[in-house]
Amino acid sequence: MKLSNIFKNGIFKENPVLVQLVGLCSVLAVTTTTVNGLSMGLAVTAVLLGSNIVISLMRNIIPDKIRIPAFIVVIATFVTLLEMFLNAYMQSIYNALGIFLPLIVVNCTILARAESFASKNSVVPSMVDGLGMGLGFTFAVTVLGIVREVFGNGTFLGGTDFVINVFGEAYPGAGILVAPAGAFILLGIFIAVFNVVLNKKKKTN
Amino acid sequence: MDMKETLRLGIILLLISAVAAGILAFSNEITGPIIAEREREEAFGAFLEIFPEADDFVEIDEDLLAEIQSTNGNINGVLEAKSGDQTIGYAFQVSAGGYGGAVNTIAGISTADNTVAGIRIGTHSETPNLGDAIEKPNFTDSYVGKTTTEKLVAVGSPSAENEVLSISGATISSFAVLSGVNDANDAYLRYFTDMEVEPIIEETEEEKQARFFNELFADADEFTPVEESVLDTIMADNRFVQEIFEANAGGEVIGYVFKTISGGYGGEIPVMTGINVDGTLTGIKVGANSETPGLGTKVEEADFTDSFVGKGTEEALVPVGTPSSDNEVQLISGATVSTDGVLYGVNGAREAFINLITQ
Amino acid sequence: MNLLTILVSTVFVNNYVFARFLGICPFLGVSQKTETATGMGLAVTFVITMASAITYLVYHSILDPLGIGYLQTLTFILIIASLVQFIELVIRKMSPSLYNGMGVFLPLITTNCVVLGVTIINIQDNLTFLDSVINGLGASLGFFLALILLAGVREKLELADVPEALKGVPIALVSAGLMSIAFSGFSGLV
Repeated sequence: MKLSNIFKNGIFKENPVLVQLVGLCSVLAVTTTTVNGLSMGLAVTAVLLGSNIVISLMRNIIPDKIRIPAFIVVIATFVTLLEMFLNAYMQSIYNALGIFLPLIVVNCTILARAESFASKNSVVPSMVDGLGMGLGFTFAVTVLGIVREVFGNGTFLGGTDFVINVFGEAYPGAGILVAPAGAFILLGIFIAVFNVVLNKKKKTN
Repeated sequence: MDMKETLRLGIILLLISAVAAGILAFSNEITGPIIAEREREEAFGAFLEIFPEADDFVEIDEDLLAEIQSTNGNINGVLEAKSGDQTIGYAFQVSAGGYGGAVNTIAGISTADNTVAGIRIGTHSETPNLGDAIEKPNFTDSYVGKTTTEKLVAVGSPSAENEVLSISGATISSFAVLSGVNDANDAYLRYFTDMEVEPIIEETEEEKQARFFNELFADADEFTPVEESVLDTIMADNRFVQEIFEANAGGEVIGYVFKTISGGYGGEIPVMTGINVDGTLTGIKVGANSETPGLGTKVEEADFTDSFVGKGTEEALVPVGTPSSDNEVQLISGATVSTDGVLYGVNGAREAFINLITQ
Repeated sequence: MNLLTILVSTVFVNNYVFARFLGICPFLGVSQKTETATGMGLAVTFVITMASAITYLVYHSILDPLGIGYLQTLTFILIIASLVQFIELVIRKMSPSLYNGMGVFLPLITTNCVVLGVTIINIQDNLTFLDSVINGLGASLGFFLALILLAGVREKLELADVPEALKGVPIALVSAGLMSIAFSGFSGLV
């Protein structure tokens, strides 16, 4: 497959969140604000990139029978490295992601890519696949974060120095959107819309 | 899969894990100190807010800390606040159970006048927008300058030297902080001053029971349980009474002690009621319960229990704001369920008493 | 904390699916039929309860005293993977039909966020051993409850007239959202 196709695949046709429907736990919990969603997306992309590269490099060394545990060790190592790094240098993001940071280990996306792509392809395509999938994930969570924050809280980029009160300070916010229920419902609608758009594109192609 | 194969695979997996662990250990070497330093600064930050003139905070001697912790397990650490060579105060890191989990508090005490220099709230899991109001200055400031020589109490509008703020709607959280600070004050007086402090009484449950009996009937020399058949007859009609004892003085029965169990707000409340043979109450004792700390637990305090002394058994006892007549006892506002719980027990004792003397 | 309080809290008030967002993937994947949901729920309950106990012991007896707490994520997930492997073998030996019925969902328990999530929360909240195990039991019961409830709803949805775009996962998510609102009514219970 061409590299550019591999990349686009991760963002559209096989978008991990909106099409493959994996890794949803973190999607729902961490998308309460734009910054949180973006941070989670980038964190997952970082781990995905690292694990895809290492697993691809090691694909001929790891015996088939213990490949799943071996993948898990590699992924867990990258996640722990990320945990340490964020805790030391970017503490606000570390706190915002909370328990969902170590939970990246069980984000099905990463294990799925390791199993279906990185263990069967060379390093450069694996890297591009990781990047594509990671950015596809980031796209989905960031959009969700923006919608939930803007309509649920009335702010954009809250928690940073660039926060904007989109509807003015007095906007009480549709609290339901920031609550767990809203996340479920919004994600459901997002997936439905995304799939309709994809199918339309398929038909016109 | 044969043994050799399993072993080979196991070893490979072990190797991969070992390499991973090694990488993480290396990373920990680099990031660990940074994280530890930052956490220390954050902790120091709070200490500096309490003691602005301090330039260093030194941990007290390990053995001293161990001794303090053996008498009070809620004290996690003690630091000496120093300005130059002088010790200007002590910072106690305490924790107590709040609504959502442990509430960590730093209580600073000034050595100059033995008052609370200030408090800061550390990590906790109290309810956002409700219990976490304990972090706000209007709450923490209410502790500044308060005494350490008397037990602090939390009230709605603190004014006296020993009164601090209790946030309405967040009483449990407020109480968790209060409890921690009182522990710190006690430890401070006990170990860092020469003041006379009441020794910590380690009482077993048995010793406590014996003490209760004696406090109810000071003149009695013996307490004997009533005959089984008598107890059974009474318990058949009375769902609160569990045990009945005769109080004897010089071979003569001078009164009875009734042990009851009744339902309160947080669970069961055991009560002991002493009644003289002439039908007047000698008093009540409230045992271990799960009532709301600082609110329902007021039923254990003298202000409440004293109001039962000398009351009669002609009519059922009722709680009122200002008790005067023979059947009125003290109502605790804000703790009606706990008060009622105790009263079910005491009135149960009353009925048992009437039943007993008419036999 | 009172054990009953922990149970009620984890099953209803802080339900691991509806309030904490853990276990969503299998939640959506396995909730299509009540039979598979039941099998999954029971297996998960076993794994989580055992994992809570074992990870607690490993952390407090080995990792923490040796100062290698940073290996927590790695060791916990390996313990969970091993437990799942073990239960797979047991089920295969004891009931081949159940093993076949559950298919691929058995190994998927390893990637169930609730499992790893609970073990981490047990350590973070500094619970005692008994509290940790009860917390795990409560979390899995809450997950089980959520799973059964949604499975019931989805079986009915199959027969309903759902717009094409929303069919399948989207409408399941919307339903889950509505159930989440219902569960939020439990807050204030403990």
